[in-house]
Amino acid sequence: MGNQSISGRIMQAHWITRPYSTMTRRLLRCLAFGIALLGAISAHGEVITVASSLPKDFLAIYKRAIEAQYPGTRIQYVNFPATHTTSFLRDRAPGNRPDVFWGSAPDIFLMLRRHDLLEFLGKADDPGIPEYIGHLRINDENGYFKGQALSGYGVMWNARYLKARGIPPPGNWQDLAHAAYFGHVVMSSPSRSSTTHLMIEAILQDKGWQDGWSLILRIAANCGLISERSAGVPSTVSNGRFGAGLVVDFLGLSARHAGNPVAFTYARPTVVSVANIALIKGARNPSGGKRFIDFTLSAAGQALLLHPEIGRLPVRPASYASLKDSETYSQIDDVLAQSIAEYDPEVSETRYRIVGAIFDQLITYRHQELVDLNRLLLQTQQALARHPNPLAEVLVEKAQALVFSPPISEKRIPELQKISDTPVDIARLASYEAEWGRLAKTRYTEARLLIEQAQSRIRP
Amino acid sequence: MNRTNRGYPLLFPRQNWRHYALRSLQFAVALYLLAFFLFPVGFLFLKALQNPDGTMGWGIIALLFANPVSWESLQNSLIVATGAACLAGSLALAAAALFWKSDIRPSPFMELCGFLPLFMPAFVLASSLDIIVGGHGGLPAMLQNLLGISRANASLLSLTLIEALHYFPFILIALHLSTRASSPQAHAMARLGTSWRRLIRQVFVPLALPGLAFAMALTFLKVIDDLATPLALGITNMLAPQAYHRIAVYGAQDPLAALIAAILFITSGLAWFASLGFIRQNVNLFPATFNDNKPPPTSASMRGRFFITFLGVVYLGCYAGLILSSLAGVWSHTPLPETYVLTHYLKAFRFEMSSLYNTLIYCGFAALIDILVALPLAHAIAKAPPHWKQRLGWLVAGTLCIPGVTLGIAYLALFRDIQLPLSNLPLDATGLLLTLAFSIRGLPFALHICSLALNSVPASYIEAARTLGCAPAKIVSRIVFPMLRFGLLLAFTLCFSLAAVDLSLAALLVPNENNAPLAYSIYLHIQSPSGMNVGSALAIISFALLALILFGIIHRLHRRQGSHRPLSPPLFPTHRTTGFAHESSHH
Repeated sequence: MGNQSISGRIMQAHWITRPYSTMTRRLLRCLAFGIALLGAISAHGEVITVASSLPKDFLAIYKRAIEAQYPGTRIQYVNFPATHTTSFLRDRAPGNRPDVFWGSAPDIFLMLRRHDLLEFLGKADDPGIPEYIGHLRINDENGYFKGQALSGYGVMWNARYLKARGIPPPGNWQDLAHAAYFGHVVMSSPSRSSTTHLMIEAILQDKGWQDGWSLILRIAANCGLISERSAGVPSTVSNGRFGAGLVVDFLGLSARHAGNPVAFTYARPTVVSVANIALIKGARNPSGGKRFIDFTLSAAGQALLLHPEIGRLPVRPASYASLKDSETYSQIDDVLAQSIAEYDPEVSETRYRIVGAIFDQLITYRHQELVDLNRLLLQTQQALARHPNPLAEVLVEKAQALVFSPPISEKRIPELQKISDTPVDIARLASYEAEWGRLAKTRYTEARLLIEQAQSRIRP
Repeated sequence: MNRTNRGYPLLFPRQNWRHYALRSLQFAVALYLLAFFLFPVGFLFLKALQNPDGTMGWGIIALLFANPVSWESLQNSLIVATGAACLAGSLALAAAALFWKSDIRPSPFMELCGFLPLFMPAFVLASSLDIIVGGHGGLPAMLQNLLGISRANASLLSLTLIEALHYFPFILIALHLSTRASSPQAHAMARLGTSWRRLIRQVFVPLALPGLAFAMALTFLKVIDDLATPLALGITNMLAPQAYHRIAVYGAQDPLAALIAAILFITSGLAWFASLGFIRQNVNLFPATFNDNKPPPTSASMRGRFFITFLGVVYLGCYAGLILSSLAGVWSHTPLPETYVLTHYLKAFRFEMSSLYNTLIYCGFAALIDILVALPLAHAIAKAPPHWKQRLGWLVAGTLCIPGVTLGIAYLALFRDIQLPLSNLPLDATGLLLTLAFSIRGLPFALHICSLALNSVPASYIEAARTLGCAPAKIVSRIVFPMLRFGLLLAFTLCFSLAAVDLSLAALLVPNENNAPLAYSIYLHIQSPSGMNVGSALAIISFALLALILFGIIHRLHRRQGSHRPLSPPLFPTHRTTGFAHESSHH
């Protein structure tokens, strides 16, 4: 390669001497377009940021309604499980937080209030919204959050799925723990779904710590999946992957509205709670947040709850008048009549993270083993029914008692209450979690040995 | 001009303002790497090694591994990632050997389709398969009944299968590209009497090994970082989901999550360095796609066509669930939907186009940053003395190995409470953090392509232009930039597409729903209570867009091959030299 070849190449490359090619111009144009787009996003009107765990379709209806009513206002949602709210807000300095928090479970609001993350809204109540509906107090007595809707909790099921397998439809929580439901149930985890947390807590408060956990563990052992978020329950039941699931009423009702062969019942004893809305302390746009809250409580905002895609119970009694198909829609009084009166969100709030952590260590992270163990247990019980054997029965009962019981007694809960977000507290809870994790592993191994012993006795 | 003998031609003479401009550019690049890569990662390690009481020590490590779940997570992550990489690798090796032996040359479009999996999150495949085989309980339950193994093993096996299926086409194309050039010669040898067995052992395998190691290592890194697929299958006992759960419940200051993130980084790094032994030569995957000037022979063998059709049908079958659910009206517990509607597409177009716009903004800017950083970096690496070259190489490998989960957690922990100048917005309420994180993840790929492109600018052109009295600015705008242009376009497209599917990062750093990129919107919609229909429609739309982009690239390539511009051969040298070094030695 010498000079000749270089000059040859230059001759060949005559296009270099041409002006900027079209490609270059196009690239520059793209760049300009990009910069213009960036400018477009930074130039917008007032933004109201709402943190919420409610489903996307649900929130979108409100977004459209408010943006239509207040032109120039833009609603943006931060969507994450309500159980993450405290850590999310504490991670952000005042002034950097979303404006409104809107969720289903009241205990989260109590927790936020205790962590001083809510702004005082005032105690003056709207005359259209009663102070009490049934035994439920609608607005916070201290004026930190407002009731926006009522939600009941229960079981939804896929009628086609259950019929194909000859399983009777469930009526209450205990039914889901029945052997017929093995592998057909789906639920979420209380540490990632505030509505699941509320159902778990309702069972615990209704049946007591020991029996409550026993029932929860039995239901979980029947589950085919512990879904990642609460929305996973209605979607997998609707498409027929699982037969029944634990859900908050409006998720079940909206799935039915979509035309799926699903049904929903308030499981007895049900818990009915007030879904709240609150202004966050240290919000970026408090006045906008206040406007958003006022809209959701106004007659227009309440009427949206009756939208078939939402299907919630408004707190403004006048709103029910606009209901078209009032026969199929659940009536507020019927729902309240079935609910337990003693549900105490304060109790739930004090042990919020403990319940979630216990569930995860015993169930979520050990679910595969739990399901395998339950399968073995059910097989053994079937064999026992055919060939009764008292010794084997004792062994099976022992195994059941070992598996279906909480890792700590109720007496020890106070030592763990009100875990904060400091590194020391997190480490303390982590060491408990490690203890429960080890306990679950040894328990399930021991139980398996016991059941295998029982099996060897049945079939000598 | 003796100085320039070191490798890359110095465009600007020293002691000149342009030289300072270049220096300050390099300084900016160093600052960017320091602020958005080294510093966050260092911070993460610092946090992982800090006891709860504030002293340094092993307290957190002991605490994490006191829980058997953590050990299992580490094991499961390693098993699944290794299993998926090995399974996909061995299948791809066999398939590539078949390609090689039968001299199958898929059309360029088919080749680019091999890269499609890299551009789609794996959980889309998982959800689609779930619909097809998930009559009851999904793939894990089916495998459990079929093979009679425990539930936990069935879950891990199904995850491994899905990941292997997802990355198989990519490894196959990588192998095919690195071996196909020798296929005709192999045929000639075979005609002369050499056995195919010997040819495969002595020619095919050595040629394929670097590409295989590279693709398998990349698969390992991607699988270990995958968050959405295990969660979609209900698997929680893996490192990435565990870190995600902890961050979600305890917030960004959770030291255990920081430790898990650090472990993920170390594991990925080890895997990468283990594969480095095989990748001594530069693996030029992308150049190989374009350096072939011969059009693909139209008379592909019957067997080849059959095989490619078979692969196509398998993948179409896997994604059939997605296609069906995007069109399904009511579909519950029946093999096929009862009604078909188009409303999901309408909904996706009406309400979700903002996420497409977000993807364009985030990934576009991330890719732009990548190019702006990669070019000076490539220039600096080319000029650097050998020991610096090595250090810079390590740094780049570090950015390659960092999992999205690790980077996301590090950013969350470090960049909270930072207010943006000029506006009263906090940094983490904007998409800026996401854009920066995407750019770090895309940097090694951009750098690879940029250095190839820079290497291929012949020094003689620049010298010749300079001797003719051309101003440096003119040299850049008329010679260097036009020659780099295609490489830059390639780097941009690749970085853009990689960022578009980075779900792990998006799940951690998305500021709010309006600012969610497309992959995250698909993820949210697939989880929605009313079913995954809108999510499927969105996924199909993004597949279509991707195909359109790929088609555009191929179209350009054909035009390029048709024209006489002397670009392709120098840009993508067929022989594996380190580009066109300075040619002054020939003078």
